[in-house]
Amino acid sequence: MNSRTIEILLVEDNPGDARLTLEAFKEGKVLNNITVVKDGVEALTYLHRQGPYASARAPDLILLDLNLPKKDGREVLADIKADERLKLIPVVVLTTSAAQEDVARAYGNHANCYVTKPVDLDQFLRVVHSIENFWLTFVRFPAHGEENVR
Amino acid sequence: MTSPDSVLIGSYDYILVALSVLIAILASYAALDLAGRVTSAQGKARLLWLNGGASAMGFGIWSMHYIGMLAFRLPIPVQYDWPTVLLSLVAAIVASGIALFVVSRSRMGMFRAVLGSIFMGGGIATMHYTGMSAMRLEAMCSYSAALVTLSVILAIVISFVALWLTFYFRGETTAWSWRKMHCALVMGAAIPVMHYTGMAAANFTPATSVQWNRSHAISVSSLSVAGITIVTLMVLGLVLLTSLADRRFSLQALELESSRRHHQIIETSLDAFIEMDSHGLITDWNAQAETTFGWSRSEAIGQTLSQMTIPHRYREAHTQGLRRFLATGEGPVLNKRIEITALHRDGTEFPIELAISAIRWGEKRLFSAFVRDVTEQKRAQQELARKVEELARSNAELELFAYAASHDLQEPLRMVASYTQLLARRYRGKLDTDADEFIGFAVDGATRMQTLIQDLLSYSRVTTKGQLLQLADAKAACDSALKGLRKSIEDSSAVVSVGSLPTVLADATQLTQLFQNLIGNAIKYRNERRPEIRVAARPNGNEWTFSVQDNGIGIAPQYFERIFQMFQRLHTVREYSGTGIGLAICRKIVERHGGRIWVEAQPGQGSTFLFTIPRAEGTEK
Repeated sequence: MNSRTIEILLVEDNPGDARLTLEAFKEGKVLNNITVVKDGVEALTYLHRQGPYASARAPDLILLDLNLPKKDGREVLADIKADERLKLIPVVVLTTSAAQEDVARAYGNHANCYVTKPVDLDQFLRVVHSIENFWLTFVRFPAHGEENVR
Repeated sequence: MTSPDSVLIGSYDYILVALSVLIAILASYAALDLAGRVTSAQGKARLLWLNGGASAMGFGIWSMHYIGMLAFRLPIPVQYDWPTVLLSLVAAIVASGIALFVVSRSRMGMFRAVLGSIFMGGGIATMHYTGMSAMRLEAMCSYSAALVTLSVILAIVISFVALWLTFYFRGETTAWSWRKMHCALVMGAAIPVMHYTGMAAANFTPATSVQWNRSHAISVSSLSVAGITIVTLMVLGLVLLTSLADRRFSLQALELESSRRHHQIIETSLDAFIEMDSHGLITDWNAQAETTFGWSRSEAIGQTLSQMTIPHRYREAHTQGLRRFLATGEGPVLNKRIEITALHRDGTEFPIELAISAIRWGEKRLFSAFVRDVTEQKRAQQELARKVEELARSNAELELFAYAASHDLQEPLRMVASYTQLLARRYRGKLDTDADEFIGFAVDGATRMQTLIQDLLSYSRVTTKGQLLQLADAKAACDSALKGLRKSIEDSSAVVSVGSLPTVLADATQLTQLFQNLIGNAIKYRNERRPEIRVAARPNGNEWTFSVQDNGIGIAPQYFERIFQMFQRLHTVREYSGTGIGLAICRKIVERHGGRIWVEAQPGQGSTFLFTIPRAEGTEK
């Protein structure tokens, strides 16, 4: 699994934050390909491979912000986890919100984990590296359905 | 000079004796009654009552005495010298005058009573013996010194008793009372005792040689006895009647005056006064009622109250309430201050405050009410309520603003901080030294600003995100504060001792934060000594006073207030880190809990931070 490029879908409307996450992954060890989408609708379009994303690869991991335009992250999460195929993809909620209700609601919608973005850069980098380490190195996933077909 | 057997033996006519006693009783009763009149009268009326009373009483006593004299029968004819008789009458009147004067004073001490009774008793004795010396008969009169003395002493003692009794009873307001009658009986029975003792003191021996000046002597017939009696009774009766009438008139005058005064009080009252009968008709309407409701007195009297003053929609309730009260006696709106809407003549409605009381007036039932137009108060009240609401809203808005501002500021600031940090991380040493320094300042500034905003957020969270106050164990809160401070306690090897702390009504999270800030400060502002911190609480009236005491650097008195203000610091960041929000948060927490916070300290001597929290009722052991 580690031999191939890991596909990550980053749902983040703030380009600064997106770039920071990209930069953090850039410092990581795992070969990865990150696609950034800027709102909830676009995220679902991507995941359902509609429109411009018809040939998109299914991501191995979704990094999901909660406060998004058009359709917010909470709804996106609910949609993903309600979908038989998409619910297999681990979703890491990565947000600035530390509100208890957000945390509870995210886990209620079967988020795989919930991480509050640290304010400090060093800590943020550490968090991203932890996510990378854990989700992309140690965790085992079911084999991709589509790869089986292909 | 005379042999004992030649003493003339006198006998008494017992009917006249009884008559004399009766007159004495009547005179006593008159005296008791008059004392009250003299006491209550003022100025000229008082003088008149004193003189008239003294004359009537003196005349009564004198008449008793004289009839007593006439009751004494000697076997020889007796005539009386009338000028001397008149003199004895004057003595009786003077004695009575003294008596009335003494008992009508506002106070009567023992000295006055004794002096009064000596004069009065002396006067009566003088009257008696003057009266005796008016006797013109062919006999010598000699006196037994012992009996004379006894009679004078008796006169004084009886006067003393009479004065006390009269003084005591003068306050009786009714014309007739059994107590007064009993008293009069005692006094009336006692006075003749003196008289007949005096009579017994006299011995008469026949002496034809006695040469009297008989030019003024008259003999007293049964007719004149009857005359004296009738005149006496008439005088005393007249006095009593006059006293009775005066009593009535003065009482009526008093009542009339008081009712006029009450009428004037009601008429000039700043409250509207309304009276209504059981049919709901207006029976009284003062000047202020005219102003308040717009109807004049003549228009209002006799009209149905509800139609004049109550808005249409409330009339039915009013009528039913009245009916129910008359039927059952239940009046839930009576005898208390109520607020209702009233109707003015011009059709406008206005708020009034009124108190209705029900009275029985003979067979009738009347309802009276004092009414106050409270339009102005209401307006002021509403204005105040509006202002308070406005203030609360603007305050809440401000807090929300502070929260939202600091929350939204965080996002862009995070960008600035993160990217300057990223710059520093990637490019330190790769540009030039100036660039490194600039980046350093940028990173530092952004980081500090982040801390400030964090502090501002936690400051505004004290009220915006505060939990309900519940019973919370202060000891547990302090313990979890210590847990949060474990690292700095270990680093500074501080010794923290916590006394027994009570259970209080508090937001446990904030209580923890409060302890954490105070103990944290106590560790932070230490000197070279090993930090020793004592946390304690003691009850003080209806609150607890908590204290956090340290042995650190202390604080100069001029900074005692300033340290609790937001972002006020006494040291540079280099000396002691921090933004100056900690104690401001502490103060906000304590104030939210209804307490106060202050510091007692001396530079170099350590500081004690004290705060109070009201005692939670029912939790004291």
